[in-house]
Amino acid sequence: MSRVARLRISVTVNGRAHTVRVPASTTLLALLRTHLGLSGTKDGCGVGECGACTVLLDGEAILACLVLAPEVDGRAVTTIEHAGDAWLRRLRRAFADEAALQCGFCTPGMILAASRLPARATTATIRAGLAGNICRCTGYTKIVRAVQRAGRRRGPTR
Amino acid sequence: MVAIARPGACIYAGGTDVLVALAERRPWVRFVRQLVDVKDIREAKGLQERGARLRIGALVTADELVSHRLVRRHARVLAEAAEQTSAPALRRRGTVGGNVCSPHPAGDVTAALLALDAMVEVAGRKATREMPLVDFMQAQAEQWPRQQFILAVTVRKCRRSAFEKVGVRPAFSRSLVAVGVAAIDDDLRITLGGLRDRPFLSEAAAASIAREGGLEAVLAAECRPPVDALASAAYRLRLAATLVRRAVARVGLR
Repeated sequence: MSRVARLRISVTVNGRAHTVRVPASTTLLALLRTHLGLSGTKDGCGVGECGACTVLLDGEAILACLVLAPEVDGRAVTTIEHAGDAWLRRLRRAFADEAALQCGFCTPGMILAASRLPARATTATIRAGLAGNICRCTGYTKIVRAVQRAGRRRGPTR
Repeated sequence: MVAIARPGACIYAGGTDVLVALAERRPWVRFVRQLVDVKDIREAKGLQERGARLRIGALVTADELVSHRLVRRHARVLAEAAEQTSAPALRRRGTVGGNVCSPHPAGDVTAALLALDAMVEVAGRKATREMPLVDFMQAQAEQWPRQQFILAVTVRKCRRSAFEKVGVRPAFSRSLVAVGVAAIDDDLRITLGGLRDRPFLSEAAAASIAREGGLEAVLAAECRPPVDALASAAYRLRLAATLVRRAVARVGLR
């Protein structure tokens, strides 16, 4: 590659505004982990095949390894570190209560992907919604159960 | 257009293909010095009815194909193909244009587009050219990785169409075999993916359905199925016959 231009990127992450200067070829994943020090988002495969780096971009679950930093300029990103979101907190709690993790590497991606599912999702909907998130230790039964448990706690209001 | 024509420039839309190729240092991206993000180009957005056809902007994502009212109603084969391709987060980013331009042998979306007699709008320096998808794919295969900038595809509207595929699992799975079927006027169109170097329209398969016999022989003659750790050629051919019959039954012909 020839010399890569550095660009100024302004992005809101978990409600906080950041401005960074990064090479234009930086992925959102590297921006979060290396430049902003938010290592909760995991770097699994780097090529869109495992779902470990799932984050929300303007509320939509996407893979941070396949988005470039210039694309997030002026936009809002939500990661697993977001403390202010009650639904994410409930999902995290439910994953712990159901023991839906062992090594925990896939968990941030699972939780962010699950956070965009309807509260009272069926097993089939949850499985389809999490089909892009791979877990290599726990297996999926407890994960699906955790998402359902969080949905029950969320109540019928949403 | 000017930026795309520069040497070393590579069109960038959903990124689900180019970024993976760059990360894995695949040979075809060796020329890339710069990515040109085309996601703001208005002419390549949106989805509209145009008489007997649907115009689908090249930037329309797989997810939009799945849920769009016009696609579900007039191009069901395409909605079903998009729904079964890749994985949720990638379907939110991957575009129709990228699917057409990247030569995947088992391209689910391209198999569906071919069934709907798709045409491609290719942007040029002076004017936009329209050409059949099948010709475009041939040209791409011969001249890869020369880049063409697609603004949109148009497909024939069709109330009876269906898509069937089998991969090793529901997500992230390249089709072993993909089948698109569309009944347009009195014409039955059957397309097959995963059985040659790229998806193709099989007139002989449609003819064998019409005369109620010989589908297996036609498929054996028309296809050159790969053999790998996942399946034998014979398995793929048998699968193709089953999926063709299933899709044809679903569009209500036999």
